Amino acid sequence: MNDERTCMIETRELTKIYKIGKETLAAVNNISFALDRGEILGLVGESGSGKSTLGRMLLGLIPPTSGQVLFEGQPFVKSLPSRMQMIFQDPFASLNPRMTIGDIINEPLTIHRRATPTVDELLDLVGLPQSAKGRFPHEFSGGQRQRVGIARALALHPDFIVCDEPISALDVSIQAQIVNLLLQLQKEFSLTYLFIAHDLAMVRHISTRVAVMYQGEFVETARVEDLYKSPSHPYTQLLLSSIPRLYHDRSNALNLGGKILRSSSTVEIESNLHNVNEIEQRAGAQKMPKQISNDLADRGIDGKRASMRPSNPTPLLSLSGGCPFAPRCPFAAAKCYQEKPQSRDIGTGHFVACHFAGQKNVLSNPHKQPEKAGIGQNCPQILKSKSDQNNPKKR
Amino acid sequence: MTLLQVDNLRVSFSLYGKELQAVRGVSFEVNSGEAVGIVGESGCGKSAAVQSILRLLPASKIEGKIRFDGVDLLEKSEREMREIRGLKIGMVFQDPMASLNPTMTIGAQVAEGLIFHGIASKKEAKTRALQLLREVEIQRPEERLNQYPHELSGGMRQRVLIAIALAAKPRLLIADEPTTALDVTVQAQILDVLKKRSSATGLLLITHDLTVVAEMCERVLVFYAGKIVEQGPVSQILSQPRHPYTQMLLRSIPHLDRPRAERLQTIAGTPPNLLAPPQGCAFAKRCPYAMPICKKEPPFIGSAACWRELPYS
Repeated sequence: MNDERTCMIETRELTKIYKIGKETLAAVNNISFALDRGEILGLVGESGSGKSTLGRMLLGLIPPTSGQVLFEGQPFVKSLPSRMQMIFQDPFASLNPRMTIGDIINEPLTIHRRATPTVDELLDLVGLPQSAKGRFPHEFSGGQRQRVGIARALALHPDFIVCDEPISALDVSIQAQIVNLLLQLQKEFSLTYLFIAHDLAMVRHISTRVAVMYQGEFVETARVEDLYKSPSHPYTQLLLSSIPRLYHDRSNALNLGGKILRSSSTVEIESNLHNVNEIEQRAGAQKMPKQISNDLADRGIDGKRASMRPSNPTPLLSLSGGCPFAPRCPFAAAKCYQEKPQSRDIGTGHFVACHFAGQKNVLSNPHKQPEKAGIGQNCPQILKSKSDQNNPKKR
Repeated sequence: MTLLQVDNLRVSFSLYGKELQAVRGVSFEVNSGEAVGIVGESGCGKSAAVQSILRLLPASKIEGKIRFDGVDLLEKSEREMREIRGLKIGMVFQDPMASLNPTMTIGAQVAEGLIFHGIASKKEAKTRALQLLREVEIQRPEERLNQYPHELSGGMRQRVLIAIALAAKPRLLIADEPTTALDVTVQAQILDVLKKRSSATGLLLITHDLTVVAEMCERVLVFYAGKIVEQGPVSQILSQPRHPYTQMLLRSIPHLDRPRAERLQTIAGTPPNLLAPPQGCAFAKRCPYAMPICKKEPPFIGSAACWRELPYS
């Protein structure tokens, strides 16, 4: 990972802070990672967790507030775009409806004054017929349009491609075609991918490493086998346990301390709803800053002290020093509200930002389950609206 | 007891002066207390089929029989249908933002149906709305009553839609891709709520996600190009799919519980154009087992509509 020769792209304390009115929102908070040539990093997390912002910052489409992106060890320069490309989520919105397929694929070649590869070669590469050249995007299905997007991204022989949810908008039977194509091209040109997705099963299939993002931070990064075999951050565990399974032999799926993490009983969920007092008690002598307890109240953690309007949309705790996941975490202790967990290696490049990761006796406590009911519906307000208008805002 | 019985339903739209046959002869039933899933790709007619049950479509033609509680819904007038929508059959739509009225408070929207159907007075309706929000596990419901849709997250809006659909205690709940727009963690919560609240009613759940069906339903109907290609108990269809389309569909998705495969199996080609549907089996062009007869004549409709199945067996 630290081998300079193979390191493709690297970030150092990359941060993006958006100002929304008087509030600030850390969309990406202090992320450092390195990707080797040929690696496929799967990036997962809920909407609004900063996945797309990170992807766009890597390509220089969004300037970072602080921190650095290094491409092959060098800081980002203007000539780089030809070596880094993006495949977009929505194959309907990302192609100009007034241009023919041939013109769309040829556009990057014209801009960068390249003669090769030809449009014909690119069409062959992505499995589109030559006759597609003179036709317009609306004449094609979602899967075929996504192939056009891939051909366009490949035109300049890039080394690194950000795939921002490239299959989310496609039908199941088409998803497999596109994923196979992406993997085949990756092998052929030893491409490096950042694969943003929310389908955890697909991420497992395609990635070599996976990063789990929560409120702008990497909470867990590991090789794909390690992450799915022993998810060590409570948030990763929650994500994995939320996926409906096709076959109900869950015994092998996610078994923590002999008990499946996911709970469907209301009683259990409710028993996990901390109230602010309890959290304050756990925080011990050091009293929680008022702001934090307000924020917790907004997330519905204490029904009685609920304020009408979310006071602060920021991933507050991450800025104030605690663990961002603490308010939702069933294992949260006093320490989690006071001290921000540093990402640490719990073995073979498996990084987890949790005070208790690796301590099996804590994270596998069968009596405590993630507070499923509290998620999403208690997100602070601006986080919500942000996730709704996700892309337009970030563009 | 059979709650809903759909017989040879055909739905078509007129498009560019031609006839688009979205649903081409579909028959199924839903018993009370039963959860039935409909899976299929976009354009396979699954939404058209269920929306025509409530006659929510500007379809040019709806043919066949839709019996709900023994009465044919297609013979009802528009006025009579209003008594059925919401009161007898509730519906949860896919896009919670587009299906809520942005200018009305949550409370008013939940209460609207109750007042319209004369189930509750305005005063009672408010109390009932509060209770409904509680039933779908919305926290701090008192406060939510006076909020507007834009103030809620996607998951919460979907809960509100479920509350509205359940308000009049309908006997059948239709949910059209209720979790497609949501994150996995939120999806898990919404499915839980839906499962709990629909245990007494019949549930017709439309989705393109087989895992959601596996989680929620007892029976599943697999739609392809406007027809049901396979139907049966969920466990049987997931473990021993008989129609080539179902088989290939299951092999084309990665499974978390199974070892990683080198390559995903794909289904070559695209679904047929329903402006000019094929004469024989609609899947024949993409099917690796296709025989000459498949392209000529449509297969018999059984648990799997395929020529490889022996008819009448």
